[in-house]
Amino acid sequence: MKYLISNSFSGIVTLLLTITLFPGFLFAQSQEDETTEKKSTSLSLVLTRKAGGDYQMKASLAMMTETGRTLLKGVDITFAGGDDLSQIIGKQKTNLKGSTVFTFPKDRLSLPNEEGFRTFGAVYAGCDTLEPTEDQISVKDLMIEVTSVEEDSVRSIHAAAWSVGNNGDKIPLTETDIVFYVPRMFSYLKIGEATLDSSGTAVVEFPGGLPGDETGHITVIAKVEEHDVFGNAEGETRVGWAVPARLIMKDSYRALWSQIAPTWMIVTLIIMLAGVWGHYAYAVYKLVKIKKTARKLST
Amino acid sequence: MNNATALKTGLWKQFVPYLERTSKWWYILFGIFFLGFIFGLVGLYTQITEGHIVTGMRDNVVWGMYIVNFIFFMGLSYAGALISGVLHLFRSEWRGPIIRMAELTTIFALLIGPCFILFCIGRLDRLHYLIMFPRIQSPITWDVIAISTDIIGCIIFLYLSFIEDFAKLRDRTEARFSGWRKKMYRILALGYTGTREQKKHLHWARNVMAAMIIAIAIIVYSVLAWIFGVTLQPGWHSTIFGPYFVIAAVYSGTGLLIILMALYRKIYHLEAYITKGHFVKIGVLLLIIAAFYGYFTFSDYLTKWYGSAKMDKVLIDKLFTEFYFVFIFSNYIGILLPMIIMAIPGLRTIRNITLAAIVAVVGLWFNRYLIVIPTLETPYLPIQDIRMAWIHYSPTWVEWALFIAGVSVFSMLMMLASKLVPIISVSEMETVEEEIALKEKNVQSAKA
Repeated sequence: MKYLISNSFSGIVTLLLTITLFPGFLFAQSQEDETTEKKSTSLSLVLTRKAGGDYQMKASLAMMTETGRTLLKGVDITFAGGDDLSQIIGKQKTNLKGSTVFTFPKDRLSLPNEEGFRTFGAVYAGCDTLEPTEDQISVKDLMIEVTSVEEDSVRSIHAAAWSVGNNGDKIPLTETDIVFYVPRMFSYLKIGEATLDSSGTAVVEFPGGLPGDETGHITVIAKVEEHDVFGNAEGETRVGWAVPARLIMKDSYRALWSQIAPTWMIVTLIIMLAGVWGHYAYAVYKLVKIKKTARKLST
Repeated sequence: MNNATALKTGLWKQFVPYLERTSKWWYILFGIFFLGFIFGLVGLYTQITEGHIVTGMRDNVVWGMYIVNFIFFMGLSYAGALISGVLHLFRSEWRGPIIRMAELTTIFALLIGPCFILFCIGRLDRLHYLIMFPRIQSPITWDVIAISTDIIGCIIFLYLSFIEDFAKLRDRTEARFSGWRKKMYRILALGYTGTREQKKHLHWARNVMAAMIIAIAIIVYSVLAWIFGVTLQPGWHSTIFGPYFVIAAVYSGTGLLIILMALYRKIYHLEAYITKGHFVKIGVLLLIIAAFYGYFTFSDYLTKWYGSAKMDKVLIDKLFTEFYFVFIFSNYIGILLPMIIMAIPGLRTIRNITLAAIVAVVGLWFNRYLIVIPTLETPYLPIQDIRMAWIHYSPTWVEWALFIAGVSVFSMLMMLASKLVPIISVSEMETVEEEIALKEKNVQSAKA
């Protein structure tokens, strides 16, 4: 009995120590079982028709965990077009933020379907631990023409948006908000917003004081955003109304080349010399006093 | 008889014979230095008649050994000024036997140094333009103003420290001085008799000039350093050059002071006055300055090496290849050996300390050589179609002759000065003794 208790006690202690110090060892099997289950993923695609007619696709891939979304970096995303996404156009890896931007050139676009829609998609093929996923968007082509007009010293930006009907006629886009931007270093800067009228045009005044390039030119973008049929579409133009951003570097002032020394130098020199020679004069004055004292004594 | 009187009597007994009579050995030694001076004159004559082509200076290295000597002598001078100024101002108890040597070093080195600039100038006929058309924004003008101001200041400071001894020499009627010398002592003593009022005037004047001389020494040598520092040349364009030059100057000057102490101690049998304690104290000063100097040297080269600017890298490669032994001697042995000797108490003998001082002084001369020559051999913009012989510099006999002449003239002036006044300032020794006695009296009265 004593032996049994002793053995049981030592067994319990061993078990407790093992649980405390090496829990991974005991539960390794169950964890291994869990890791075999693939994690679900989600892929979101943002599509924008650029000014030239190319389509820009931005895909973001994330893994769904119990704690939330984890962005997946360095993962291959396949971009494709066509109704069944059969036209694979390219493959790109996600960046550190789990996203990648791919431009679908207009000359490789497949024909739209009978209703005029084009379909674009991004596909993640999955791996041993992650489930495959995809996202696709179907949009109609929306053309946006941006022009600049200057009348009576008032500078304005005009945007006209339309789509092309089955018989090739222009169908203006109406009653839709359109936003005007200028591209800055990291993102677009909003300069105005208007609603497309019955003729499919909108006008905003161009703000003054915007810095442009070295010649004073700047790109203005008009954008229809998240439209049910057309998605995102942009048009752009270049205007020469910005403030030229010139890096003006004055010739550095070289004191050695100047006709006269800089004031600070003259002042410093005068102070220093006056201080030093003043003390010299004091010492000489004291010598004179010594001599005078001697004369007094001798007389 | 109190200590001060005994000391005074002893010192006069010791020095008056040296001032009255001149030994055969003095003449021989003076003759040797005079020959060195004549050798320099021959070199100078050759340079004047044949032009600067007789020197090693060419298109690239336009500043050669002359500028090295200029910096070197100016450094010795500023160190002398700093040391004598500090010792006087802080009433150092051990200043008595060495302060005059420091003062004499200051003025003589200061008179010799700028002569090397004159040897270097190609168009001496335009020298007066510096005075007639000065440009305040030019570092060369700063140097002219600084050096001339310094010379005047040092002469006043030296004269102030001599007045009391001139008066004592004037009053030594038993001494067999020649007539012209008695007259000279009388004039230079300015009628000083040591009255309370005169002492007060002299005391104030010396204090003011001691403070001035320290400040001027630092500024003037910094100005000299800035001539290099403001120049866009590899190895020169450095903000550290001002303090680095000042420290280096004090290092060489302290070394020279130790050498002079050893020489005068031996020649004039001054063992009773210049003791081992004096050597150890000034040697410890040498150790501290060596540490600072080594730190500045390391810091200067480290930043250049780490920055790896193209031409700085070329320069450092050159220092470690072409100038390897000079670099090692100057920047390792010249710094470490004096430090080791002074750091180990067992090695602190007068002979070892003097050896350390010689190594320090010679090492510093080579340090100046390494600052001037390799840099000029490494220009940012190489001259087209230049011959290799024009890039590499080696001093010719003319330059060596003028260097020997400079050392000889310095030695001759020191010898002449020691014939004019005691090489140990008797008045300073008395003042020190009086200060010590007063201090002891104060301590005793405080205890009572």
